[in-house]
Amino acid sequence: MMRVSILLTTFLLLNITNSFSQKYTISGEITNQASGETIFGATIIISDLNNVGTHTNNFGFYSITLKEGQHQLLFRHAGFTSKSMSVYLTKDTIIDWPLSPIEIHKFNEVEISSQKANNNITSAQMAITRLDPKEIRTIPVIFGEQDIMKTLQLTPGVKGGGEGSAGFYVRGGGADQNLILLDAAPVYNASHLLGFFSIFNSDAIKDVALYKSGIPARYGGRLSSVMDVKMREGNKKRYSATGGIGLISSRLTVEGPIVKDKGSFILSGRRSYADLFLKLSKKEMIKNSTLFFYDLNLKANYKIGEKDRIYLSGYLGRDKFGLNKEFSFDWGNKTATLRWNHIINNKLFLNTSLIYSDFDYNFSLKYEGKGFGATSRIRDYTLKQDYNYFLSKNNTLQFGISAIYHNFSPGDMEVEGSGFGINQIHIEKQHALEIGAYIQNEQKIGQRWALMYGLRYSGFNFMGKGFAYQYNKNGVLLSKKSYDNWESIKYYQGFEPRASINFIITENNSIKLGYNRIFQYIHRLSNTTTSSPTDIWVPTSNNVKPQIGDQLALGFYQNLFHNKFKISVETYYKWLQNQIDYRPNANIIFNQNIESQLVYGKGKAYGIEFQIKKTKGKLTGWFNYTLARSLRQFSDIDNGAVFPARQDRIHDINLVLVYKINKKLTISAAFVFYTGDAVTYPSAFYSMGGYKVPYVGKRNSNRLPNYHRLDIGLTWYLKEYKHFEQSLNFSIYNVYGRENAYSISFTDHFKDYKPGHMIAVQTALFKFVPSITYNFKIK
Amino acid sequence: MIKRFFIAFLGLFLIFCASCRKVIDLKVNNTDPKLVIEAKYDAVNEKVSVNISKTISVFSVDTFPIITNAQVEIIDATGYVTPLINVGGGSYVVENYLPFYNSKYKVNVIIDGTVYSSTDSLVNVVPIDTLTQDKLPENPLVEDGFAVYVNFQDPQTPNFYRIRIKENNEWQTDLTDQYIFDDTYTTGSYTQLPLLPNMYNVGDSVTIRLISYSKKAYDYFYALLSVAGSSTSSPAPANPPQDWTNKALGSFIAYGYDQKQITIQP
Repeated sequence: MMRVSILLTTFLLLNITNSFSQKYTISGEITNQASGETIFGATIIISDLNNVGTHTNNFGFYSITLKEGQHQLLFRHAGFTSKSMSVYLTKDTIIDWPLSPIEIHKFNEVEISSQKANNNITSAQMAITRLDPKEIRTIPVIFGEQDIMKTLQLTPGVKGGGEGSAGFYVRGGGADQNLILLDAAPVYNASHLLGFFSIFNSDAIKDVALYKSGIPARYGGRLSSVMDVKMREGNKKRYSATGGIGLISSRLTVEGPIVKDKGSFILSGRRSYADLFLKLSKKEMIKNSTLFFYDLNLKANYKIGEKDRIYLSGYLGRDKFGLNKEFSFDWGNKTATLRWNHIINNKLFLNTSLIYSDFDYNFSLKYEGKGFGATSRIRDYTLKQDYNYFLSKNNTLQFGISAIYHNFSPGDMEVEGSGFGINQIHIEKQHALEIGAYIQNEQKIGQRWALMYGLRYSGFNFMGKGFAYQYNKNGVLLSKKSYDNWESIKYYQGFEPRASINFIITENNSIKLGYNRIFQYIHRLSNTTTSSPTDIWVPTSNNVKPQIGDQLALGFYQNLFHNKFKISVETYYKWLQNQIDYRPNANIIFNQNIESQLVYGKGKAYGIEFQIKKTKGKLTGWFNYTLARSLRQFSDIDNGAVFPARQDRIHDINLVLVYKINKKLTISAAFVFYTGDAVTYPSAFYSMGGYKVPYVGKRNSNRLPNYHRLDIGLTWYLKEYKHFEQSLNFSIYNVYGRENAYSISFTDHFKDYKPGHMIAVQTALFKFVPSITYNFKIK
Repeated sequence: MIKRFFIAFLGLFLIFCASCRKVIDLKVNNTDPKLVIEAKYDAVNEKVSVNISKTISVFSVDTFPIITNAQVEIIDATGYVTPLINVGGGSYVVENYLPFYNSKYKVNVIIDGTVYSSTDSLVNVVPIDTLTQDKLPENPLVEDGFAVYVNFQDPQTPNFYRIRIKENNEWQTDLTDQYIFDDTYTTGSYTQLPLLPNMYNVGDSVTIRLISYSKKAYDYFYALLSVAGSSTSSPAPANPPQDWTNKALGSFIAYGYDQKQITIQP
């Protein structure tokens, strides 16, 4: 409680200074002139006050309070033409301002950054990566499928889940420690086709922000990162369509006004079509098979009066795999977000959200009237309120509350006919209520200091209706106790301080220090090392404790040549508590006693990340080098010895280059190198049951061979018409055909090798994958 | 069985990469040689056999070293001790050893003064009711042909099984031909288990041996088969549970079985 009152006192003191002269507030909305969509993160600079300023919130709203008199305002945002205006302030004023976009590809030079030129220096937020899907379109990707998650893997501190995988690890954290939000709705399995593609259709995405440290207090629930994906709102001015035809999938997006300048909609779809070729087969069985995924994104918004706006957004995506109507396996996410933006007054902005999120998988096997079907599901209902209070020109307060009702259905098995003798199984459902409350201030002190500090309270009520199981330390069931609807089984809570301090040395360089503590109350259990639809989310319970993460980070930032080059060095140290691993030979599929299969330990991760980025000119891109470790320690694994986490990749290098040859042609290249994953090899073999059996060595004490590859791409903008634009994108993934190890197995019989003699066999997935994508826009 | 299908599903994607498999040179950390004791009591054939050997380093071309100077004995639930005969080659055997189902057995192995012990329960045998055949159309998981179903009444108590298959007079030893399962999903029901993805043709003779294991034996064998077929993509690779005292590898397993044969008819 003490900490809370100190924080409140600080907030009050902030208000006292400078309160003697008459002040008025300028507020309003910044929009994209071409589409009418709101712009968030746009900067409003008061040129006459030593470049004091503010920026628009997530919904394009801004507010700044200034003394009476003449002021010079500058509205700016990267990719848009800046606008300057003079205001004589005698009363509270509303200025809604449209900015006109610069059409990047029509110019010889480009600028890659959706931020103001030196925002990286002046903002208190550290370790954030922002991507605008439009700006990364020229970077080569596998199968030509534009994918924000794969581009994020090319940025410092973010490591891919493996060859071609859309899963990722941030700063040594686990794959389940990333909070992936799509218009504020959590996404539980963000990949298609066993992880090779992410669910995010770039055409429907407005912006992606990945927070790696100094995570703002408004986010909670995952230890390592927040990936906040915002969907586009749709063009408020006129109808348009964009689309693309690729090797794996095709996409189409339609958008337009509902009522001009009042409301708009966007509907975006994507579908893969490998299965359409199956229909060409002469074999009935292949003809009747399915293998595809699709995504549907829908968003609509409507402005009701001057102070209110309603947004409705939804996502529906699914993978379907079926063989001849006998075997089927499908999985997918559904999310829906209903938001109400309300301007309470010219300083106070409220966003209320009602959110639904669902992930499930179904599996069935039927043959001649007998068979069985299995399902598993996690479903969330969230209600939250977020307030932005533009307290003064130097202080912006954010505070809010949230409640998430989690509903876990780990597994149900239904039987048809005799079902091959398999019984109906209903693994008990679990329920939990996760609550949060936060307050945070962004403060500027003079020209030198920018601070962001706050506190989050989180609580987790694991509750009925259901059972609480008691196990001994070896995982043997001792007893179980029944609980009624909403009856609390176990309650956990914690305070999560968050702070970032930025000392601005000059307008070209700064030093930032960040700290955050985060509690994670739900955990993903996986049968594989990559993302799989059969991964299971389990709640914190009387047996499973919340994961706790603390991170301290320090960074130095230097911009050179008028912000053309941006250099950063960030170092971090993370302490991870109550990490989860599996007992030897754990069984996590359809197991009522899944909690008995888990063991708990701790971890630490530390590292240093260097980046140099060129954001303007004909040649743009970045180079990163990361030196990092990620270690774990479990009393039940190797007698408590410290071992490297699978994602402990010591050296990690990325080089991304985009060169604009002329208005028509852009070439690009991406190079990746990292230390092979930490894995476990056998350390001996023995004879047992007629088999040559490996004796498993110490956990993760070996390494896969180092990983590296080069991808190249070419984008060709074809002839443009008044209402039609088109381009072709060619890319080659892994151009020099490096055979990177996907897995290694040991065998004594392989091809022509002499039997009886053990050899190590490496499986590689993709080498030299060329692709072509055609993109168009009807406007 | 569900796991089997998931694996098959994953396997489909890896088929595309069959050509991307190659032998590589690898550095591994070899451990010091460890003692391995494989003891089994086949109650149907009334035979106890024990093989004693040592581990070899990962890429060794040597055969497994054998231990020929051990004293081995089996003790039944009444405490009656029967010594095993050293038949050479690291093997120790006793025959015509009559079973008492639903009772415990213990094996002691004494090497250079150190005693290694393990116990197991010989559980009642669950009989096979019938073997049946079923024609299946071709699909990417299995070839065109006949699937064999093992039909049996699972008792209400927890049961642990292993199936071994003899196809045309040859016992199948590939890891993919090994079925090890419990009755978590089938307790007390009449079970019709298709032995997918194995497919047979008309005229094939298929012998099915349904082995009944104790929980200990099942856990050990399940883990052994998992690790024998594992690769670096396993998230929690682990050795089977420690079974012998004094840290010897291997296990003692007592088991009975029922066996039936079917010839595939058109």
